[in-house]
Amino acid sequence: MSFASELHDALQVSNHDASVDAVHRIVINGLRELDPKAKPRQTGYFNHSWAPDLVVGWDTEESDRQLFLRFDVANEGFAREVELLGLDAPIFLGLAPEASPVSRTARGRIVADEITSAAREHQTLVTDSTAVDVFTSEVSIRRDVHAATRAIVRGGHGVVDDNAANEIVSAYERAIGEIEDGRRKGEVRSALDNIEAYLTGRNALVFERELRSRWIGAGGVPEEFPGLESWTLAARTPQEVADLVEALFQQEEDVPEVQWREVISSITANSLGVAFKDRKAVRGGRLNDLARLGQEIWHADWAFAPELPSTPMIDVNDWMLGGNYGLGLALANCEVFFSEDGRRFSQAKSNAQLPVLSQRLAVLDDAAVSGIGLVTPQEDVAISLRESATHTIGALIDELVTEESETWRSALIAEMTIELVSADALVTINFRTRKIRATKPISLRQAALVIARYVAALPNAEMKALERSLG
Amino acid sequence: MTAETRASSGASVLDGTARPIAAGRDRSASGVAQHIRRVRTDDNSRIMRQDQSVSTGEESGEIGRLGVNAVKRWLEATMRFQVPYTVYDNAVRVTLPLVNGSVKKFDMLAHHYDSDQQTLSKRDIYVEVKTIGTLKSARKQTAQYKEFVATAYSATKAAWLSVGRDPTFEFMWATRHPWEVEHFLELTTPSFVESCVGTHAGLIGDEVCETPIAQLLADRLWVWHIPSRQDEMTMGPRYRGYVLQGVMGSFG
Repeated sequence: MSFASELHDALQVSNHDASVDAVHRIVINGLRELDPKAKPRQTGYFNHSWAPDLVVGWDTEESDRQLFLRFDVANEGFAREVELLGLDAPIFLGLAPEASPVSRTARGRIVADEITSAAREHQTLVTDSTAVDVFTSEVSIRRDVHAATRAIVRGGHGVVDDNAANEIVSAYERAIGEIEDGRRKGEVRSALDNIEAYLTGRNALVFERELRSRWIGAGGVPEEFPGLESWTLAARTPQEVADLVEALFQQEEDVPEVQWREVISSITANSLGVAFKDRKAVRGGRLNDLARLGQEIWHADWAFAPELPSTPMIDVNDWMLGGNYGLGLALANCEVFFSEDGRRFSQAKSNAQLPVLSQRLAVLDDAAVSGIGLVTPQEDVAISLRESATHTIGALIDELVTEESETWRSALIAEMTIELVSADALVTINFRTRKIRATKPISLRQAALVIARYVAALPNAEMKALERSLG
Repeated sequence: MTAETRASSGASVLDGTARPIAAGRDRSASGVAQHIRRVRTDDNSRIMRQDQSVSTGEESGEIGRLGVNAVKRWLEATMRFQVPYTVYDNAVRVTLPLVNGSVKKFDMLAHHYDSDQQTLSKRDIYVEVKTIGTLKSARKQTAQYKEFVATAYSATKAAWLSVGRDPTFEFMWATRHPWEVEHFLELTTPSFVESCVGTHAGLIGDEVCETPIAQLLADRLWVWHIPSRQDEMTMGPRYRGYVLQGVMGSFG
């Protein structure tokens, strides 16, 4: 059953409250079909002059969009209504287009022009159930049309009736056809113009981002995409760079190293991680290519290394992207995520057991270990080596342990400080939280190796495998 | 306004002997029952006529639509009313059957909110809009308003008979021009209601005008004289925005 028919039936329900509930439910479902990430909320009002029926929000959009339901959106006084309510660039959805008195008369055309003009001026979308029918029907056939329908819901303006909706979906089809096969820039631009006539300026650019990704994914050169803006990667937002990276991950052709280097120079690992938060998670493969080239250039001063419940047999030493913690690396017994901002890990929890001192004596012989915090049944002990110290922490502990002290044998390591001379930084490992902080940003490669040795306590063979993998 | 069908008289709706409107001989014969459907909701019983073929001429003309929409806008700007339906949007929802078997199509159906502005007060208000620009037209309101009140009485009684209890309908006369200034305060009194019904007996068929219903109805009449500068008395978009933010904060 079509959206318009469902609405028609809902409006016939005799009980007012049940009718309104049904109408709102159908509109909410319709909206979600056009834009699955939309989060519409009911206001409790129906066809109210000032209060919207729904407020539509998105996790990734700064502002909500109000949606007003109207029985018809093409009458004489409607342009004035758009002017009165246009402050917040809302959506008007006509429930019963057949109720519209505007005919194909000269006066009707003048009224339609007035409404279109008011809607464009106020960045307001005026649409109706027949247009939604066109969109939902197209989306049910090819999901990628969401790029266009989503753009209309979020940033559409002007009058989008069923004719306009048909124009939009056919232009989208033309654009995608050219992007994937012909790649004739003039044809793509012409199709984009058809669609963007119904989008506000900002949303036209957002819409083009998606199509540019398709262009790149199909093997096109980013700079050659016939967008409204010239393409300079360094001037792109993190989301735009993430779009590009996502497209590069998916494209069939190999990605030249120079392309990855351009990405690395245009975005930090931290920003890339944030931009990928709500995207499909990626692990290994081309991400490894990107991260291997970026590991010396990208820096972090925070890391979180949650312990894995069991040792994975595959994908060890693969890089990971997506999710809450940003760019990460899978080690044999834990994962490591890197950040420039400790708040990224503020909600992160770890139930890891503290390492037993007697099992970590080997690493304590490293000259880099300059401090340690121990927990025994009776006391907390912190040891920091002075600069003038001539022995290692390992040597000091060895003396204590060799005295056959059960207390020291069973002591647990709560904290450890590593001095990275080459980076002129101190790295503090908190074994309770599995959070690691450096006094200044260090390269991801260096951070990964420090964590692999001192937190994950990888044996030498696995350390060598990691180093080989990092390249 | 017409009163085509004469109906047989019935028992009082206030003494508990009310019976369905279709039970009478003539009503049954005229098929009134087929026009009426009982709709029971949580908060009220609403009656709607399902036959949409009745035309009063109100639907035609964009000027009338503009006038009705303006009144809808002003009423809703108070945030005490919601007007989900006008005669231009959904004629069925603004139509009430009368006790004489005919129907009345009002201009709007409004729902009223309690002072907390979030809870419906359970009042359904049927609104008649008069967009009047001349004194001659204004004077016609003397007769028009009387007919409106008698119609309100007839609709109330019809609903009462149909559902067996007080339908609690209210009725509003929203006009752009005053009239009957010397008797203005009498326009919402029980005696005025009774006199209106008396002079429009055809609207109640064979029923008699019951004083208790007239008293109830008098308290449920709204007369709103809308000044020509009402727009300037209405909260502007900025403040409405604040109100909406507050309202939305309660559910967002």
